[in-house]
Amino acid sequence: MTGSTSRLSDELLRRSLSELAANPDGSALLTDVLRTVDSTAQVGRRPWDAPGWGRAGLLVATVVLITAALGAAVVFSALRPQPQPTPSAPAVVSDAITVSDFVVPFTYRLPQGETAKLGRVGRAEPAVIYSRQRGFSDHLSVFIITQYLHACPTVTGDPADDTLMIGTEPSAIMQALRDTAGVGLGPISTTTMGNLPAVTAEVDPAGNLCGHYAFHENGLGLGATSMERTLDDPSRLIVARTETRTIGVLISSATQDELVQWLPIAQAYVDSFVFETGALPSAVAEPTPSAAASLLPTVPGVGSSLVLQHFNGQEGAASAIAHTAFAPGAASGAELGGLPDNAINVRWAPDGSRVTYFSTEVRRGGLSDRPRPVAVDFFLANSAGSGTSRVELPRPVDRYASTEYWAGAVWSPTGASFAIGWSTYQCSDGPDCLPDGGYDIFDQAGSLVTTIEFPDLGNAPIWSPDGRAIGWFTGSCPNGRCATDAFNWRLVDGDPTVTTVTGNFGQVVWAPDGRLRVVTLTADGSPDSVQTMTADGGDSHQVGWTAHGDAVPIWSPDGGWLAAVDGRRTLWLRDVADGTEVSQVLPPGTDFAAWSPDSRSIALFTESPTNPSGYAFLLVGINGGGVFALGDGEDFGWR
Amino acid sequence: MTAAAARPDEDVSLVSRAAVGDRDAFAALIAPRVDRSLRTARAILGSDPEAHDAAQDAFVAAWVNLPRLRDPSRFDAWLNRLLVNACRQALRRQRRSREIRMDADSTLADFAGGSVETASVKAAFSRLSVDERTILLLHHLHGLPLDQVARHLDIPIGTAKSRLWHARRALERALEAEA
Repeated sequence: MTGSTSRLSDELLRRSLSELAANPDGSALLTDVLRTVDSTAQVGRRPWDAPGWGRAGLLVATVVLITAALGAAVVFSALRPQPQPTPSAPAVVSDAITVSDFVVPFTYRLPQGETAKLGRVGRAEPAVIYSRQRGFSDHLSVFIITQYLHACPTVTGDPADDTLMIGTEPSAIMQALRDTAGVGLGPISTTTMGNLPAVTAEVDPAGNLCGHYAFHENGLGLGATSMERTLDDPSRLIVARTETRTIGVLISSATQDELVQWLPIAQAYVDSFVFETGALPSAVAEPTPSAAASLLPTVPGVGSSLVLQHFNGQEGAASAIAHTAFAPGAASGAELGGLPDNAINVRWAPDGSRVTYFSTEVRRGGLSDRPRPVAVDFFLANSAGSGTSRVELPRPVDRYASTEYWAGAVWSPTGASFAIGWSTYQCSDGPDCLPDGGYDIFDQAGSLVTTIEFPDLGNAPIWSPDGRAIGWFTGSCPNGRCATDAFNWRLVDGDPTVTTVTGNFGQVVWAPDGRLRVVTLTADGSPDSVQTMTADGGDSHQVGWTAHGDAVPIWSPDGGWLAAVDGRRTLWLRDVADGTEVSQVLPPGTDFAAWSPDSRSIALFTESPTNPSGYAFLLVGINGGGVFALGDGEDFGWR
Repeated sequence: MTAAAARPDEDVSLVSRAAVGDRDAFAALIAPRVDRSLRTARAILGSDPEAHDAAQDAFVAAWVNLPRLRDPSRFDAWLNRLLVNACRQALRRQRRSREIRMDADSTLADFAGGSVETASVKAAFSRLSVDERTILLLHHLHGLPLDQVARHLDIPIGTAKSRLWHARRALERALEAEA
């Protein structure tokens, strides 16, 4: 039956179809389907057909529903409007659709008699933040443009000139498309999309003879959204610009009137996107960091100093590394003495008396083979610089070798031990695994106590409060998206049995009371729950947390605070005990770096105004010290 | 071949339970069918997000309409029809706007992906009708024998044989056009 011709063998056909089918992620689909099923009624089925239902149950339910409906009418009338981007509704409305799975839930009211299907954010193609149809003729795509590429073989006839890279500036994109034969665009006009300045033009089906492609970045490479030459319905292209991104909106519909009905939806999605990414329009005034400092609560205590490691001279000059300590509330930093000027990854013991660091020398390395400071030895010393001793590490100290010590030491809370994480470039746990790695653990005198190896290293060591046990995450990266699958711990010196607490953890803090403070994530990396539990995962309790976009809350080391920086670069700080929450607006590009060990300060990093490849640091003291810009740094430690 | 195909009695029971609103039964029923449906949709539509949406539409439609399915033993054929219909709708949408996945180093000429040899087959495949694509996928990708193909499409085996032959010929003609 399936005899082949000389061109198309069964094997070639199977291989081609297999490539077309790819290897999609069925688990995500199953989750989505069942979530939808949970809120979707079947047709033609009586309620009492369902398992567990009886006639009496139906009667009770009817009474409950009537009562609930009466109650809801009262409750809803008292609800305040939510501060969400709810688009203006058309004059005649019927069904209301609430999109709750987007970053900013919003409600859109449909014209009477219309039905619609609104979906989630693009999952496999994150650059296309929204793509949805309504009926057969309506379609909306919202996408991020990194390059607008016009491809039209009829322009010059020369294949080398088939494509025209237009760039990302909205007016330039529109004008270039309009000036090019084969792209049918009507007059260009300015408009707004969300609260962004934008340009817009109608797409003329008759003149739309060429393909044009909006390229956009995603985690794996590039994607493209194309408008094809078969576009035959009234369509509109809108290009909007934030301070960092260009957003394209393509709408097509059967008639001009219907096309206009898509605009509020597009507006709401662009608003949501801007919220998610913090890509504010340039027209919005920058917040003043110090303006909201008084909102922060006052907590007694001086707080740890943040020590920044930074290069005084040219990159690659290993002899010019300086260390400056900044105390919360201090107007300026103080240069630290006692450290050699080739020390990196400096880490102080909790009491500040001892310090570990790697020494460096200039070597060529890395993909570019440029000269750069490379760690060569590891030292333990008194903070004042006396009593320095070289620590013998059980593997080479070479960041460009097959084994890498990837960060500084992590001291135990008691100061009795410290651990150094390392990883290899070997991956032995299947195709989705992370590289094998482990911790080398030393006592406070610098003697190796033990080495713990595990299949996939994903985090810095997490010490128990008594310093007797150490924990780590395991996880994998299916489909290029990494997630943890468990938190594991064992005693450092004693029973090697590993205790495993399963979960997709974004963070685990082993608080002084011995309980774990955890944040779990959904499969797409959004915060899922905030909990406390015993060290073996028992007796878990949910902790209240107000969602701020997709911002992942971070526990303070003492378990008393939760902090998060959302897409609108606002720092949210919650007192776990009483549930009060305050916020602080931060400068552009700022993100969370670390809590101080004493839970009194938060380090934040942002783009350096002077060093394109470096970071600048900020310090927020929750003792009322406000936000302080500290300057550039390549690494930091707490002292 | 799916695990479900090997346990027809169990499937009939699951269909019956799901048809009266047993969500767990529905989950157990579709779990072994998700990957194959997704691969079918992916091959027809050429896009992960579109395939995800189409397959989701098909499964949700199956849940909603399951009480109307009179013969539980025809579930696979019925589900397949829902999936193909969902893909058909998605293709209509694709005519207007289409997402294309690219690697970082790709150029326009690389859109097809894979080897030059398979690229021409894939390009030719995109010229076929949804029904032609579906029967080729069931037989050549999922490896279903003709009697199973007929069962999935709810057609007599002779008709399946004939349709498969025509689809194969259509693909070969499309290949010639691509050459």
